[in-house]
Amino acid sequence: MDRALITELQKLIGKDAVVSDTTRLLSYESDALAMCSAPAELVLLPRDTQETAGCMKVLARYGIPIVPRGAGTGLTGGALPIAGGAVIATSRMRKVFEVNPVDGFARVGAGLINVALTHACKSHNLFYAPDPSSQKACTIGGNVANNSGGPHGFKYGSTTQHILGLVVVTPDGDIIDMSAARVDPVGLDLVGLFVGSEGTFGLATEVTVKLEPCPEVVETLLAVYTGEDGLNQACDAVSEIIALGLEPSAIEILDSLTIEAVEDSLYSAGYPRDASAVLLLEVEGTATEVRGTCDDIEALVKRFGAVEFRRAQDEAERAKLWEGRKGAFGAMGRIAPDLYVADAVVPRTKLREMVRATVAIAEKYNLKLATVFHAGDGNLHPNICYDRRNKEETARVVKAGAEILKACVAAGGSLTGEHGIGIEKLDEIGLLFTDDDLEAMGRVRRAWDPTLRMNPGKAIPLRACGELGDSPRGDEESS
Amino acid sequence: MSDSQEHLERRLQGIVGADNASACQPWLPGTSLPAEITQARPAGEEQARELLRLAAADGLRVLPCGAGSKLGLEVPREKASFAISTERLSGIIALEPADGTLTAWAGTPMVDLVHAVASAGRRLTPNITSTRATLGGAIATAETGADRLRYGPLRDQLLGMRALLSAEISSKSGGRLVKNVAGYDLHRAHCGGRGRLGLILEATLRLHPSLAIEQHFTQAVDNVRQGLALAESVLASTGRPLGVRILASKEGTSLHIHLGGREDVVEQEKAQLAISCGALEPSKPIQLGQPMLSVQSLRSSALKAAEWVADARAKLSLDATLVLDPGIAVASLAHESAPISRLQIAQLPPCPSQLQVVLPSDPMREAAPGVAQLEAAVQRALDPLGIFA
Repeated sequence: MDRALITELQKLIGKDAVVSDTTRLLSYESDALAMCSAPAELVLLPRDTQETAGCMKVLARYGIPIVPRGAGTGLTGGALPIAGGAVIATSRMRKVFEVNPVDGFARVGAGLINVALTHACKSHNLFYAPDPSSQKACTIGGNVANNSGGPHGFKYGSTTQHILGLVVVTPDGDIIDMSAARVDPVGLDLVGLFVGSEGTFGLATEVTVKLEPCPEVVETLLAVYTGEDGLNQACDAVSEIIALGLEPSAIEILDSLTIEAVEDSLYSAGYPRDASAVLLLEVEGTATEVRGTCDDIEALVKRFGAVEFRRAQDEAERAKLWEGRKGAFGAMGRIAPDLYVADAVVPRTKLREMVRATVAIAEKYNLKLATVFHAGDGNLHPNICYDRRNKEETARVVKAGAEILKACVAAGGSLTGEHGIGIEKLDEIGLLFTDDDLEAMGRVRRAWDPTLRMNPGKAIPLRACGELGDSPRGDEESS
Repeated sequence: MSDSQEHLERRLQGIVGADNASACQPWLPGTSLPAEITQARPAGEEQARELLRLAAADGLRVLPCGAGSKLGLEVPREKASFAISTERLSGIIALEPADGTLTAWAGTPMVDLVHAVASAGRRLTPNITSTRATLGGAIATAETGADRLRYGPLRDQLLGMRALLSAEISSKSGGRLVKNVAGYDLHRAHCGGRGRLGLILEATLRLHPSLAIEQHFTQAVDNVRQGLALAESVLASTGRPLGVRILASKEGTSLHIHLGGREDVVEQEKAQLAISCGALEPSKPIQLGQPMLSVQSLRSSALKAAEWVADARAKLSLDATLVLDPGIAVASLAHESAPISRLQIAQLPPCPSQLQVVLPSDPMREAAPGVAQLEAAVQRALDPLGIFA
């Protein structure tokens, strides 16, 4: 990196906020897509929007690419500096600017940890609904970039449904303040367009989020399935829950290998070790509502072959059941050193057959598969346990991952339900979108970032972009 | 009709047939624009592409619309040479109750979709009862239904879309899935985009479980302020009403509550309401005309919004019902007959900074500097040929 550039940035945000020594840079060369890494050349840690804008103005002058980074918990390589340039991490922008209990929103720094937001509004009996499994580490800004989901997305939807406003710094360092909380966007919904753009439009520094009232009663339920057919039975029970219009807030399935890993780990949740699948559900609402729904679910899961049904007796047991689910990815470290967390979606009527298909694909490539999924949304996480030092095995993992995605898309599904495309799925995106679709998206990307310096090589391939020249009339309008 | 307009109409008829291109009067009364514009109603995607090809070749701008029921509530698009109505691009493409999705052509009437979904044992929101509103029109105007309090805005229901950006390019985003983050959410920009980014062809909406029972209640109140205080207590309770509305007209002021769900849950909510609001009268669903004027605020400013709307009504001597949705903080005037006119808009009282006028809408309004630039850039990106008015 240019010495003069570093000096200029140091003057702007202080020496400690400009990371350029090899040792400290090491921690930024990968994210949670463990099989890939890219050395960072420069990392900036601005404290606020102004500092970020200042840095981005300087970087624009030098024509340097910018890679936004939250906590680095992304699973598709979205925070990897694969094209070099500067990583701007939001980790110091974790202020809670405002919690407004009357109007039901909060305004926070993009680097705030997801779970800290819920803690910040707890005293008002409010919470922030999107709850990715990594919520103890991931940031709100990262959630915005990836339109993150989580188990409770079944009831509350993904991040995009909870974002009311943003402050975005453009690649040129201009500050676009769209942070005002509003019922509906006035004009084009630029905020809605930005959410899920994986850091390719600009860098969000402040986020205005919608807060939800805490439910009066929450019950956590566990249905246990055993035997060879257990996983199928659990899937069928989920289909029936949905068909009947029962409304739990979360519907999760964990398979036997996942249960084994969780129970061997410090996340041990008390899932029976002999289970071939467990169905973890949460029901929220008024006491009457919850009681009725839980009774219906209990009868239903038993009808679909559950050998055991538990209702968490207290908050501690509830927390423990969830600890197991949310710690599942970490727990899989006991099976193998690395974990490839796949993220695919199928129409929820295809759950059973797709779960079977993923098992067959894993067997074909002789890989260990541990599946956890947001069953209610048809969002599968077939996780492959492997050792990245074994190049041959890693190659098989990549092949199996791609095959799983292809099978899901062929069944009418999607490449990603909550992790994004990143670098991982760029090659497969053509399965979902035509060149025309991608060209339109590419043009929108250029509208935000004309010089394509924001997070290059992520989210959508740009090869099909920019063929169509603006007409003279279009140019007239722009002048 | 001028010679050139007649000529254009004949050319449009050459594409869509003589019966399907005719003059319409979409704008607010009292505008200085020519009262008429030719509206072409293509029978399928191919004809729609033909129309866009004609527009591009002749440098004409197109106004996309559904049945045109809401065009009277926006500032006229002066550059529009003709309108393309999706009315004949109609029908359900895929109704998948178990997957929780509905995909339909943009010109399908919302009311038909609401019924089809109900027959399949699911519920569609917004529950729009206007017989004219189309799916595409509801999306382009981000229409709010009476059940938004529970289900959220239309943009939260919109899962995917395909739109024509030009004769050659159709653009898809999202998909027919309840959860999906692949690609940019271009459909979010089309939602509320008033057809400035393209012609919406088809869209996918999320379905909800149907409700075992639905009940409506009403209670007379002295004034909006009192109604609001009661509404706030309802909203603060743990129930999940579908709607809480205050109506104020010549006939008086009343609070309306719409409940739905499992029978035991609704019974319990009713019991709770009786404690906070006193005895409630069962009533029929509210039937309202179209909103002619609408402002949004935050919940804390809901009273201010209602007061401004009441002020506008008095100043313009309008015979209209004031509707306040305190839970979503929107206040409107609903009319039974004529919409508000351009001249009347000019006489509206100044709008306090906590409020934003959303109807009549002004797609060409002045935005904050950076935002305006970005909006223009996004519009150019999706409409590089400058076809859409």
